[in-house]
Amino acid sequence: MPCSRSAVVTLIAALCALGSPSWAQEAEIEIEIEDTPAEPAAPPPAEAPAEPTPVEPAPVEPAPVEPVTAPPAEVVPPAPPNAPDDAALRDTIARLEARLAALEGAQPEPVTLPDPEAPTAPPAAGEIAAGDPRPRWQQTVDAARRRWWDKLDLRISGYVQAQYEHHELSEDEISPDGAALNQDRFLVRRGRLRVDRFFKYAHVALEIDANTVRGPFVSVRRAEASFFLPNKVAGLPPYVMVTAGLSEIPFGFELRQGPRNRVFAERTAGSLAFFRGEPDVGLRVSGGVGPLRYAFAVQNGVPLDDRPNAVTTVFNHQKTGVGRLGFELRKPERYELSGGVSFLAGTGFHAGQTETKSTLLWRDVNQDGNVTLNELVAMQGQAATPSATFPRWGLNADLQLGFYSPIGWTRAYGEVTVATNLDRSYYVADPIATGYNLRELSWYGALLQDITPFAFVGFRGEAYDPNADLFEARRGLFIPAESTEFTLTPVAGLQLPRRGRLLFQYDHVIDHLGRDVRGEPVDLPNDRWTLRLQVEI
Amino acid sequence: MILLSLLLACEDYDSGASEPLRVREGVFHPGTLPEDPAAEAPLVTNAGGVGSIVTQGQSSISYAGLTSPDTFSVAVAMPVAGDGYWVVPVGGPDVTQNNELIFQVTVDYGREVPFGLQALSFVAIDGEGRPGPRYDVTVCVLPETANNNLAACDPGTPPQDAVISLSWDVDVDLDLVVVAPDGKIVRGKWPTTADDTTVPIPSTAINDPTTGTLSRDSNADCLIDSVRRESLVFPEAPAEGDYRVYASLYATCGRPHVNYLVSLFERADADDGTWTFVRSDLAQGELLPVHARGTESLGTYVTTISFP
Repeated sequence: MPCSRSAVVTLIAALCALGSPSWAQEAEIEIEIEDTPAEPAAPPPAEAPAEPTPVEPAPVEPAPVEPVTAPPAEVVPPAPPNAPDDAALRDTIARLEARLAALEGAQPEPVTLPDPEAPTAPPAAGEIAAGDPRPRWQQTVDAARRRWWDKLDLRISGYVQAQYEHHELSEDEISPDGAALNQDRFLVRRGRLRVDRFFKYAHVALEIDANTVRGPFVSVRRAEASFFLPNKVAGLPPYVMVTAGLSEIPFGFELRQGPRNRVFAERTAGSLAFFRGEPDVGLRVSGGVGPLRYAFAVQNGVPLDDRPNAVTTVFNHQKTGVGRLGFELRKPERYELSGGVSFLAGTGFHAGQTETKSTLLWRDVNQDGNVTLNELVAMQGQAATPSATFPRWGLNADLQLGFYSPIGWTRAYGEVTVATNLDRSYYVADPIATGYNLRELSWYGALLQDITPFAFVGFRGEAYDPNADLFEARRGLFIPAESTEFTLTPVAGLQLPRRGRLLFQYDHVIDHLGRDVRGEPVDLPNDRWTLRLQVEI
Repeated sequence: MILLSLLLACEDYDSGASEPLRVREGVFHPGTLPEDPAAEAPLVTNAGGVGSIVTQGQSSISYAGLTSPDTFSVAVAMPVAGDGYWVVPVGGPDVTQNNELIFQVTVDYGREVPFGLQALSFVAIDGEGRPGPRYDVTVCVLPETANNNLAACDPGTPPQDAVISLSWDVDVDLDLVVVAPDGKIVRGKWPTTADDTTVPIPSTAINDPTTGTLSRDSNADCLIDSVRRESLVFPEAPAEGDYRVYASLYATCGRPHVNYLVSLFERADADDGTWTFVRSDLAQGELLPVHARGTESLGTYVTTISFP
């Protein structure tokens, strides 16, 4: 079948869309050409039959335009068909195709981080994939234009999050261990560079992070290798994918969401307490069948801690089992619904003490600054104490709901986690030291509203209780104490889809860490706000 | 921008870390120490400790006391030093003292605490936040320059005649070196101006009040004490002549540079039966790692002090 009028209309629409950079990618994805010739530069077939000339030049209905998210292009009424015009039309199409190819070639290749659970393997160098959504002629042109580095088929992506943050607790002072108490500063929170390489049944990824949170620091954030059995349905995750290396921890929603996609500046306090960093080293099996999603992993149980000098040594041989079973239902531009339950079972480590030598200690009992014999104390060396391990576990349920309206996407999501001895960074759980298990509870709910594709507002409410059995001695009595920390977080910002965002976030923290004049726990003034610019490549 | 300006103008939190007096167990509250002299309760019935004589910059001085049973917390402050007070919750009852509640604090005295006789004040606070009367503990705060004389707390006691003092700003092992008029080099290894031609040096020479004695070897071998001051102390008028003063950088302890100051403290008679200490800053400078030479040399020459 020759080029139809719908192809012309759609091409013109695409060219118009290319004039608008922010919409160009959408147009590129949505454009459709019926029966596109394999080689766009080839002349149209001579035997291409013209449409039969109608006896009466009745107005012809414009060809139906496929759903395009680009600004609607003006539909050009077709001229009455006849053979000479068809030839001219073919010339026009050929010129338009060439121009479109040039323009498409000049556009930056849209880079979308593939979902680790749903890798899409691009064709090898020189190949044209059957499932590639791009027009076939574009695939051909792209294949011809590949340079040697293109033939490696490396997908490079990344982003930079630079921000200014203000903390009420900031002081121009140092802590007893010499750390700065000032937290009002500009910083590069994250600077990520990621390289992906897809094969037909395999995938490798390496991601590096550079930040200035505690001075210039570079570390690896992801280093994983996967084998997978692709899903027959395009767009769905593979049936089975086995991943080894430094990879994500399949627990809950927020932990897997990733800082690039998360609108809020940081994860919730509970999530940060349980998992200081998103990845851990281990082996993971994941995949999906229909709407069902699953991921199970055996990992070291020592999440990567992006704080410089953080201890990330694997002290115990027992590994941590973690997994999530969930579902995903989505209809493009209509709604999204997903959720799941997660579990974690692992082993914590209580470090013993090494032996100490005998020492002589001076205690200035009368505080006169002079040494007298009765102030010298012999401190006997102490024998080493053994290390010990303890169990830890966590259960999580998460739910996400989104629907599309004329002003944009509305998304609501939340999750709840109950755990024991799982806090590894905030109120570090060590039942060997405390003498009892620490029960933790964390929950949050969030609402995000897009206002056109270029702005958004949101709100998140969260709570984290690091020790549900906390007791405190007051006036000689042991009484239950409250340790829950609430945080209310409004956020607003501007964004360019897939290019970056500028956001302002305020965190109003309500806790029990302060003391009033009676010595009773009160809220400590430790609110903070963040102004962040994120730009993606 | 307006929103940002408003947010930046927010009042900042004050943990009390910059206060001259710090209480380790306490929470800092800016403002005047609350007190109600006429109140009969709650009460601090007793407070004290061995730290009645302390030196500027001294840490870990313990005080303990008792309060009436209706007390919830104790506020602690030195009214002449600082911009607030510290609150410490009380502990359990002392069954041997009519169930009065026990409290204990550990106080760090900063170098900014004025020397002399000072009052360390304790106020009991009840469950409604109402304060009781003040309970003062008198503390003698000695200057860090030369603390082997109680003149700072007794104006009738004459202070040392002269003190040559070297102080510096970061934790390096910096030594005060003084070449006496007779040529003796006074430094950490030979810490007095006493004639050492006879060894051992006779105690009469050491105890001679005109003999100058080095106060300490601060941060010796980078064992950091953070005092960062060394003084040559003359209880009475030193021998006449020129004293050449050097600053010797023994080790940088990892620091990129150090700023130092040489001062002279001299006794002054107020002609009313009391005495004062007059300070004169003589010279200051900066030393870099290239100046670190151990004890191979006298160090960097700073100044010469002449005593009549």
